[in-house]
Amino acid sequence: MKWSTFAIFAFAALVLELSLTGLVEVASIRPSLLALLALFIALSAARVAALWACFLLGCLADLSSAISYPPGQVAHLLGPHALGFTFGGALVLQIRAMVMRRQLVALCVFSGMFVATASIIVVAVYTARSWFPSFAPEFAEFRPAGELMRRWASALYTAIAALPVGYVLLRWQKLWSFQTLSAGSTNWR
Amino acid sequence: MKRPGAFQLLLAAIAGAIALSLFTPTRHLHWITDLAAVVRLPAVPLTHLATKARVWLRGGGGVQIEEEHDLEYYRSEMHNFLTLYNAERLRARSLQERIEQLERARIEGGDVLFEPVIASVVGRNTQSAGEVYELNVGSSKVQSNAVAVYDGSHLIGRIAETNALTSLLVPITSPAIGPLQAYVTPERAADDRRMADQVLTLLTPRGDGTFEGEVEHDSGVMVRDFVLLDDPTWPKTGRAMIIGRVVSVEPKQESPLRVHIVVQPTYAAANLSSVTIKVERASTMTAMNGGEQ
Repeated sequence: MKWSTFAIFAFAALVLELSLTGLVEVASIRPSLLALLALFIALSAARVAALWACFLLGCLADLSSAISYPPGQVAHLLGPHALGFTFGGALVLQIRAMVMRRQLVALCVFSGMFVATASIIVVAVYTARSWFPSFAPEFAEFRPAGELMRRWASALYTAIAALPVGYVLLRWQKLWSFQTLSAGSTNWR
Repeated sequence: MKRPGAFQLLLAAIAGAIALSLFTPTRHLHWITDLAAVVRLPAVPLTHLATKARVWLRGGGGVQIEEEHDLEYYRSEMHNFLTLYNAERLRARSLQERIEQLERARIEGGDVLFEPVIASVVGRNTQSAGEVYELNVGSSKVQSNAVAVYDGSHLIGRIAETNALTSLLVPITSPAIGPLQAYVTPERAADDRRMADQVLTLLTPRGDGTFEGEVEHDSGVMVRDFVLLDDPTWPKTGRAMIIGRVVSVEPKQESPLRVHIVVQPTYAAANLSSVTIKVERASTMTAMNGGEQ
């Protein structure tokens, strides 16, 4: 995988996520372009590269997600999405051999699954922090079930958004120089 | 079984370190906010453009509440005068309190000098549920806690965090802002029917961009009345700024002497490409005291 291409696409996904996803927001639910890109790489790249890419995109998601809490304070956490994306990527790596991974439908289905899986990790971390309100005041009134539902709705929305975005990514797949799949080998490094 | 490679071990080690760091108190994680500002900085010019495009595509502006578009200018002027008028009323009330409590040499109230700073919205947070917006002005121009308004008198939010080049804005509609002390005033300042007393209320963000509160059942609050900020925990530059308008007044079944009101801000932060930050300067208390002496 070309890391220069990764950098350009990651930057573009970050810009779009910070600005234009608000256009398609429905009831505070938006698709996650960073997650979609991570899933696309997890489906196509070599194992180690895919895990690193998921981790880095998760870090980007963390650094672009400010958490606001009373009284009007803001905090950032580095880790929940990084771990969630990496875990989601690892899951996709285990099962990607069973599907035609370079099909748009596979991208849609897997993107929903990827975001839903990453959401469980993210919400688990938030919940764990909410148990200690004295040192994590940002989660003092955290409601895990509601947050998980919101994120799963976002997973569904991401799966829908994977149709147009995935089409573009698949069209530009050559730019990435992914390793081709050799017969009988699915877990190449 | 294949042994993990060096890069896999490195990734596992970093992930493990990050997992441990997640159990660090928030007060020790301030460096992540600085790191986030550095990482997002290269994206700011493009997100600025894209945000402008988004606002343009969405139509921008405020939430219209059954009003004609050709009266926009006059409505804006009326809101400004309403704000000025009510700010003066608050100041008069404050002065009255000062007369009554002479032992307090310096009390809150009075005019506040401020410098308006226009800031463009260059981004918003991505994954979290709470709304936070990134502005393209840094700590050299604005300070934390400064008030952000739009159209001169409409309260949008307050600055939560400033970095060298950018700052983070939490909108008033975010539950993170907490309850707001406010008062209700009629749409027309000349409407003397209900101007005798200020109708105080405590507004709580509902999470859907509106607020809810309670007022006395005989207070005479009506739909379309203005709700203005009167919260001592907010900077004085936010005094009498318009929070929004009453869009619903319903009796409370469980307490017949009170009514439940819903307030909708005229402008939603999500639809704005820029806001005005009121940066507080030296107080004019000296001038006021001189006048009184």
